[in-house]
Amino acid sequence: MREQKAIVSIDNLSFRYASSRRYALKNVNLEIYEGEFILLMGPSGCGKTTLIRCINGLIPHFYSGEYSGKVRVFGVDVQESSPEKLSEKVGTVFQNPENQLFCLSVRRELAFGLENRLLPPPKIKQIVEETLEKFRMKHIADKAPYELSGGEQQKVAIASILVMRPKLLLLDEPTSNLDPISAVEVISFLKELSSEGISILISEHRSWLLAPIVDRVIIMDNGHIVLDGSPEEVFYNDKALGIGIEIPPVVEFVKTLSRKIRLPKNWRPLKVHELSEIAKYVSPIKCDSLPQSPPIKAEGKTILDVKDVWFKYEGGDYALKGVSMKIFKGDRVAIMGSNGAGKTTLIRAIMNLVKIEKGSIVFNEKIDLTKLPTSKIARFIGVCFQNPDHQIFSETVFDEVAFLLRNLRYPENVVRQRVKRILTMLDLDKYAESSPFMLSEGERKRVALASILVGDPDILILDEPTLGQDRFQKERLKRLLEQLTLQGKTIIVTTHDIEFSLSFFKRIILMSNGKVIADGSPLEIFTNENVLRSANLIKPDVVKIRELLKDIGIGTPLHLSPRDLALEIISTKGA
Amino acid sequence: MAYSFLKAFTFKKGETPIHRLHPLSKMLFALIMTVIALIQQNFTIFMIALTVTLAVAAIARVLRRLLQSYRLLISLSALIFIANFVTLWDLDFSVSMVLRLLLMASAFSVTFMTLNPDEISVIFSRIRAPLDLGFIFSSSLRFIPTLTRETEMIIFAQRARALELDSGNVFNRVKNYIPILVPVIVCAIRRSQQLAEALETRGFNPGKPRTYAEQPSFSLLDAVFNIVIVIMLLIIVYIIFFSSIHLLTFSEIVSLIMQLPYSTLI
Repeated sequence: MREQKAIVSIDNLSFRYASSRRYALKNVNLEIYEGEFILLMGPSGCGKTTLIRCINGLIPHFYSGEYSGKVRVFGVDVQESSPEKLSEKVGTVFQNPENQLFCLSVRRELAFGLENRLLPPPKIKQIVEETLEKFRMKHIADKAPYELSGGEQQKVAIASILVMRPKLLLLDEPTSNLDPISAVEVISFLKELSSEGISILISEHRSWLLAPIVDRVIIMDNGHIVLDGSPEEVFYNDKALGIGIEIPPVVEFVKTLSRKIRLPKNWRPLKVHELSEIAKYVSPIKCDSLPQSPPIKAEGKTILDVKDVWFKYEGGDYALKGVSMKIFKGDRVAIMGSNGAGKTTLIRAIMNLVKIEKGSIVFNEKIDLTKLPTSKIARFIGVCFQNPDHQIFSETVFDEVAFLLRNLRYPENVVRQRVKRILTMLDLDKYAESSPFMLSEGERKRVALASILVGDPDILILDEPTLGQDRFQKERLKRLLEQLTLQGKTIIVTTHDIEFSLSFFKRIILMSNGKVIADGSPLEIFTNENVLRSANLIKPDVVKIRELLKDIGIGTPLHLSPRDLALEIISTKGA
Repeated sequence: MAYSFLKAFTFKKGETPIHRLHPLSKMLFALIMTVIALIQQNFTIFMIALTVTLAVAAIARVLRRLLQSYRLLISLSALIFIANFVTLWDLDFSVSMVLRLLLMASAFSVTFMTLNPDEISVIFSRIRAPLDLGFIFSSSLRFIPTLTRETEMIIFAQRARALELDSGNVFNRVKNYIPILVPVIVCAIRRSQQLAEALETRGFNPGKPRTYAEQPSFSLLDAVFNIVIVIMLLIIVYIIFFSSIHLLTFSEIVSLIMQLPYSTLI
C-alpha cells in the first residue's frame, strides 16, 4: 500500500491558536496515501480537530495563530491555497449535522456546493439526481433537515460533500451526536465509499465501530502523533491503554487473557467471530447454575414513582404514552433507547417543566411533583442536561456553581462553604475565579455537573453525561457517581453509551416510542434479542463475545465487561 | 409566548397557488401593502387592504396561524392606541396607527410564511444585492426553528436550577432573563462559527458569482397576481390624492352603526 503516492504530506507542523498559549500541534509528521481509510483517535483536546483544520485549510486561513512547518494537500501548499480552492479535492464533514445543512430541502442542499462552483443548472440537476439515486435518498429528497433523523441528516451532510467529488473526505466526530444505530448507519455508508476508492480520515471515539473496517489508526495525545499503524498494531500496543481512548472490547478481552495465559503473539483479532480460535487456548469453564442477577424488586423505599404518564407536545404526537417506573432509594438506573424514545421528555415531566396530561409522579411516597413548581423540585432532584453551554452564563465558575443555592435563598456563608466543597470534589477549585467560557468542553461539562451537585439532591439525573467525553473523563465520572451512591444518592442517567451502561449500572430501563419496553439488569436486557430489536439498539460486542463463548462450548460467563469476562473464564478454568 | 409570534413568520411547505408564486411576487405583495399602510390613514382603505391580505392568507392556508399571531399583537396595539389617543385626542388617527401596524405585520407574515428561505438568495441575486447579505437573511430564517428549540432547552435547564422567571418586580423580571439570554447568545455565536466553517469548506465565496440549480420562473399566475395588486395600489393612490371621493372614517362608521350624531364622538 505504501508505494502509492501521498495525497497529504505534513512536514514538521506546529500550530498554536492566537487565543491560546499552548501548542495544539507540535512537530507533526504525517503522510496520507491514496485510498486509505484512517481512524484518528485521541483524548479530548489532543489536537484531532486542529489536524483536520490544517488539512482542509481552515488553518491558517480561517483560524489564525502561530504556524510552522508545511502541509501539502494534493501537491498544493495549504498556506498558499484557500479552503474554498481546497474544497475541490478535500471535503469536510463536521460533528453537528444541523450546522452544516443550510437549505430547506435535501435536493437544494446537494446542489449548494455545485452552485458555488458555477456549474450550469442542468448539469447540477443531473449530478444531484444521480447522487440521490446512488445513495438511496430519493424518498427524502424534498424533506427539510429537521424532518430527518440524526443519521439521515449526517448522511445528507456527507452526500452534499460527495456531489463535489472530493478525493479525500475528512470527518470530525461525525457520529458523536447520534445514537448507536444511526452511527452504524453512517459508518457503513463510509465503508461503501471507501470501497469505491475515496480516501477517508475520520476522528471518532467509538473504536469498536471502526477498528474492524479501517486500514490504519492514528492516535494523538497532547498535540503529538503517538501511535500510527494498522488497527492490530495500534490497539494491541500496550501504549494505547495509557491514553484516554476507548479500546475495542475484543482487544481488551484478548489482552486481559494474554496477561494470564499464553496466546500466540501474532493472534490479534479485531472482530468477534475471529475469537472462535480461542477454544484452542482456553478450556471450558464449569457452568455453575449461578443465580441470574438478583431480581429488581422493592429493595427499600420507593423514592420516585412514575405512574401511567401521558404527555404530548403542542402540535405533535404523544411523546410519553403511559410511562410507569418505580425508582428505589440508592438505585443506579440507566434509561436507554434511540433518539425520540421519550427519555428527555420524561426528565422534563419529572421536573414539572412540562405539564403532563395524565398520570402521577410522586417523590418519596408522598410529594406530588406534578403540583410543585420546578424551583421547589430542584431542592431534592438535580438535573444536569446534556449540553453545558445551555446553562453556563456567569462571570466566574464560582458564581455559576453558586447559582442554584442563591436561587434557593441559602445564606451566603453556607453558599461559599458548599460551593468550595463541590469545586474541590470535582477538581475545579483552581478555576473558581476563572470565566467558565474559557474552559475546555470537558471542564465545562464538569462545571455544569458541579452546579447541580452543589444542591445536594436526593436524586441526581444526568442527561447523556458521557457524550463527547474520552475514556479518562468517563472513568472519572464513574468514580464520582460511585462515591455518590455510597452516600445514598439515587442516580438516573439517560445514555446511548453501551459500555458505560454495561459497566456501571445495576438496572436498565429501555424506552421506545414513548413507552417503557423493558426493565431489568444489564444482563437480562442486553441478552434479549427481541427487546434490543424493538428498542432499536444494537447488540454490544461484549454480549456477542459472550454468545460466542457459549456457542464454541466454553461456557456462559456472567460478566458483561470484556475484562471481567476474560478473568472469569480463566479463573474458573482450573476449577 | 414569543414562539407563536415567530411561527407567524416561519415558512412551512405548501402546495397552494400563493406558494407557487415567484419569490419576487411575494416580496412585492408585502412591499405594496406596506406602501398602502404608510401613505394614507383611511379606515375603509385599511379594511379593504386587510381583507385582501387575509384572503391571500386564506388561499395560502395560513390564515389560522396568522390570526393566532394577532393575540400577541393585542397588547402592542392597545399601547399604540392609548399613546396616540391620550396625546392627540384623535380617535380616527389612533385607530389608523393600530391598523397600520396590523396591515404591515400581516402582509409580511403572509409573505414569510409562504416564502421558502432558500429562495431569498435568489431574490438577492436578481436584484443584484450582495450575496452574503442574502445568505445571512435566508439562514436566519432557516434557523428560527432550531434557535427556538434551543432557547426552550436553555429555559428548561435554568428552571431546573431553581430559576424563577416570573418572580419579583419589573426590574427583577428583566434580570431573571439574563441566565437565559447569555447562553442563547453564546450558543448562537458558536453555531454561526460552525456554519461559517462548513460554508468555507463547501466552496462558498460571497465575493464570487454562483449559479442556482432551481431558478424560479415567472408564470401567468405571477402576472395576474402582480397586476391585481398594482392596480389596487393605483386605485388607492388615485382616490386619495387625485379624487374628491369621500371614504368613511372609523368614527363615521361607528356613529352610523350606533345612529349617533357624528359630533358626539369627537
